[in-house]
Amino acid sequence: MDIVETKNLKKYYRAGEGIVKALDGVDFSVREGEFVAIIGKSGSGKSTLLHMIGGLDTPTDGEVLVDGKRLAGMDREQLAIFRRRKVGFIFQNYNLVQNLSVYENIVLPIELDGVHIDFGFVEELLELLKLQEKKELFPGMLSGGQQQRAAIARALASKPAIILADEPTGNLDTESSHSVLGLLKMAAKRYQQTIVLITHDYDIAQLADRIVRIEDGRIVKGGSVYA
Amino acid sequence: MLRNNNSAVVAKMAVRSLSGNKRKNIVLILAVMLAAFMLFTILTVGGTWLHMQKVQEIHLQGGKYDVFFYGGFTKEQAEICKNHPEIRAVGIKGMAGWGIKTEQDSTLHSTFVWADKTQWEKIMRPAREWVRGDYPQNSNEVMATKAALEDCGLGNLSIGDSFTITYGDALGEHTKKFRICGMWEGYGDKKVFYVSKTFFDQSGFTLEDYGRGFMHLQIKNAFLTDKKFKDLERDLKVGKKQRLMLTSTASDDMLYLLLGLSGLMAVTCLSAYLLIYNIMYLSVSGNIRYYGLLQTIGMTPGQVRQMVKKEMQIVGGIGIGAGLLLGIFTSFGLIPAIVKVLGVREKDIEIAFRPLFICLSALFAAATVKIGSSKPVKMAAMSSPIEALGYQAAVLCNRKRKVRNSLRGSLIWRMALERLFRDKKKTAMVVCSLGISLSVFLCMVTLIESQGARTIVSNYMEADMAIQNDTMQMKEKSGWKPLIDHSFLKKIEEDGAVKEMHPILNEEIIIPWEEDFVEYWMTNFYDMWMEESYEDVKEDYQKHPEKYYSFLVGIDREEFRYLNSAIGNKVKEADFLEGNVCILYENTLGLDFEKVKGKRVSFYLSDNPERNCQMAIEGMSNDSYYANLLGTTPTLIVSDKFLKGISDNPYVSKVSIRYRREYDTEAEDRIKGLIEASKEKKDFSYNSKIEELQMVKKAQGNMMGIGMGIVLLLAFIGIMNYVNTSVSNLQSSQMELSVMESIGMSQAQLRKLLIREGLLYALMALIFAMTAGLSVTYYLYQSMNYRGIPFWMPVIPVMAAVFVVMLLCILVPLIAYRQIEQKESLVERIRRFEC
Repeated sequence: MDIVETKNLKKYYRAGEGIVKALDGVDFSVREGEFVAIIGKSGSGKSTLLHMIGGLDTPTDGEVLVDGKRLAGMDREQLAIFRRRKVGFIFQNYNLVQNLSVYENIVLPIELDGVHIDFGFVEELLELLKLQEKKELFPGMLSGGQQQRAAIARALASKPAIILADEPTGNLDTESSHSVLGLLKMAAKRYQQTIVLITHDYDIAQLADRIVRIEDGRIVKGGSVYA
Repeated sequence: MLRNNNSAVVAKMAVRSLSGNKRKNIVLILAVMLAAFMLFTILTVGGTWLHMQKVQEIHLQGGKYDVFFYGGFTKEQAEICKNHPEIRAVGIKGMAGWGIKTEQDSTLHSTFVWADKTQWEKIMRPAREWVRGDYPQNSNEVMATKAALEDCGLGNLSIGDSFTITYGDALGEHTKKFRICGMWEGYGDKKVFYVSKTFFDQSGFTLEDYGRGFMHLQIKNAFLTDKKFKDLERDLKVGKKQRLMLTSTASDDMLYLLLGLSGLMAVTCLSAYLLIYNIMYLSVSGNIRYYGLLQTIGMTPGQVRQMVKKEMQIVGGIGIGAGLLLGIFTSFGLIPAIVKVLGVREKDIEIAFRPLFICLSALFAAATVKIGSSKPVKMAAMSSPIEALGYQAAVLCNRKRKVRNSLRGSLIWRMALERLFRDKKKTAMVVCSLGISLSVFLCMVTLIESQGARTIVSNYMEADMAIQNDTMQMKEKSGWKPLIDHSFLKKIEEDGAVKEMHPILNEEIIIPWEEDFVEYWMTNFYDMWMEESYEDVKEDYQKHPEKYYSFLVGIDREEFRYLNSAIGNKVKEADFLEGNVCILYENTLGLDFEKVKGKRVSFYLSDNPERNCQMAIEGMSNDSYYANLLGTTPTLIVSDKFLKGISDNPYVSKVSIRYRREYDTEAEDRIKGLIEASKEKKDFSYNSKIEELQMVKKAQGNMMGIGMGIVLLLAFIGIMNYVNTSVSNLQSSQMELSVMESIGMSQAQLRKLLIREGLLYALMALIFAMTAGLSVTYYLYQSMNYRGIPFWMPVIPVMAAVFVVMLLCILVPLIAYRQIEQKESLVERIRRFEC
């Protein structure tokens, strides 16, 4: 079953006199539990595609369906709720809330949703991501790798339908990068999570079940699992 | 739709966010605190002053009333008052007689007064501390005070006792035994025996008689506007001898006071609003990434709004609470001091702590916080997560920009200008805030200085000293002594510190009756000032004009010029000096000048009936300085040359002196020495500008200090706003400045840029103050300018304020940049922005 599907997705920007086609008719799908890596050069449109799937940005044309829900008709409020329930984001620069502890960061999306926190699950995540000792610390007190592990824990904590990771190892050294990705993959496997990961590093992309190449806003390889 | 129980986490986020921005929040709390403090102080001072003014008025007047009808009144007038829509209560008082003697004392000052039920029970009650017994019902009963009894030498008597007194009324003198049926103590005239209506009816006086019948009116509303008061006068058809007087707390001066208080409150709220808006705007702009991040991980725009609102609620709550507490604690000392400065003389000042004032202060401060933060709150909620991910405080340059000739003008000035207008709204906020502080300062300083002791005294007293011969106050000319004679004047003239002196000469004159001008004058004079009617004395005057004497007043050319400049109809100097024309002293009769102008008046000196003079009236003045001697017939102001021509040795009633140096105490001491050296020194009196100045200064107390306090508090808010904006601006433009430094901009150039930017801020704030601020100041000044003092801006304080603002605008960005610069190296700064 497809957890993500985009149909003829377009995102055009006006820049001066011309138009930039960040996405130009992208048909793309991801199956449930699949780990997909999107690779492409800088400015190829990979981040834009991720933002569209995550409901962070709105398309110029086309459709995005996540877990059977069309994002097109949702307002800002509904999109925010969709994100905290269905999507877990992991960013290159971690984007942790600096004035909350690691633990508070992790449970924040659940608390925002007003639902009961599954403490056992959170503890399990902390254990899995080796953050038990760090949970009371603030992000500023952690190394880059530790911060990214906290971000992964936060992304997983609300048990979303899909994890979207935008260059999660971009700010990390090689050792930390492998450690973080290893943990991400392991966690995804344990909880049957779907991952869409953006990278420009082919070695990292090799860890995925499928690699999608994007160039000039178009998918040139691996757009669909059926292809 | 999807309602979640997530307020706890939003509140937690708000608290965390607050603790993470201590500097910003302290400034915000301080701003709210000062605003709440100022609002509370303004309201409490206003309330206390009003309350105490009313208490003082009740104590001084001996009753609670708003309008006083004096001069006797008719039954119709009383009826009109009772049925008038503006009037709530009418108290009536009738003068029934006066004490002459008792066995114990033969110089009594006590009077017999009848008060009707409303007067006694409603009007006078608030001024009484206690009352025992009942109001007199029979003609031999009195309601007494200890003071009245003591005045009669009967201080040991009390309720139930009787005494015999000789008193006078319209029917003559009577000796009668009275029983004290009640006693009271309180405020007002206490040398009074209140008597029954029967006693008043037997006195021969009626309420219509001049000086016998009085009405005290309580109005329905808080105050009576000038128009409504005039309407009331018209409705009552107030006669020439009658007077309708409005007490100060019931006049529309109160409206101006309320407007003034509202204005101060509005400026306080506006200053606080600007600061709150600015801080929040800067804070939210700087945190767009943070709000975007929260939205990325699922916080809804509503939750972001709720979170920022919560932050402001906490800040507002702490600030308002602290401000009100500060207000309450300081008010015990501060408010009585301010209220005393504002003219209340009561010993014990009760501070009007009204829950309403606390609520209103809190409400206004809370509204300011809410309005000030609403736009930034909206901005935070509207921040798009996608923009936030790549957000950098950059210029939106989507609008058409003019192509500039890069060779024109100084580069640094151009850069400073560009930086200034990059975010016009932010710049406008800072300029407004600084401009308002400066304008309030300008306004306060101008108003305080213009009402300052030196200005007031200088304005109403031209001369430095005026010496008067008091013997000339005696009715009989035989009692006059030539105290200010030639030798006395010569000694003054010879003093090197005296610049000029102007004696006022006087001669007694007789003006015989004539049917035109003199008849017009006498009719008006008797209508206005005399108890008896002119018709009753007209014949006597025609037969014996010498009994109706008056005075000639001789003034020199300088005095004439001064007087002529102040009167409506200008008199030709040559005609006046030659003795062809004179100026009539109007004696506030309200004469129609057209009926007087050009009329010739005949007179002769009382001690030389042979010398007949005639003169045309060409001017009319009400300046009492020239008319210290008043007769029944007109007082005429003529040239001293003319007066000396008809009189061999005219008396000098007064002499005004001007020193070479204003407020020359040494010169004044020497002149006072001349008076002291005179054998008749007790018969001299004088007015001194120096003494007047000391008196006004004492009366005004620390008015300047309080005014300055208000100015400083508002200026502090304005300065905080500038400091905050300046620091935030620098922080957000660190990248730009660092890049400029890296491509070769020297430290000196950077400093120049910041100095110019600061100067431009200062300049714009000054333009604001000198246009909007000055206009408001001028308007306020003229609306309060009862003494007709010309508008004048105090240069030194204003220049000092301008200097302080300029210095501040220059130094703050320089210091802030130095701090940033010292914290990190150039490379570190650039790297921080790159990552």
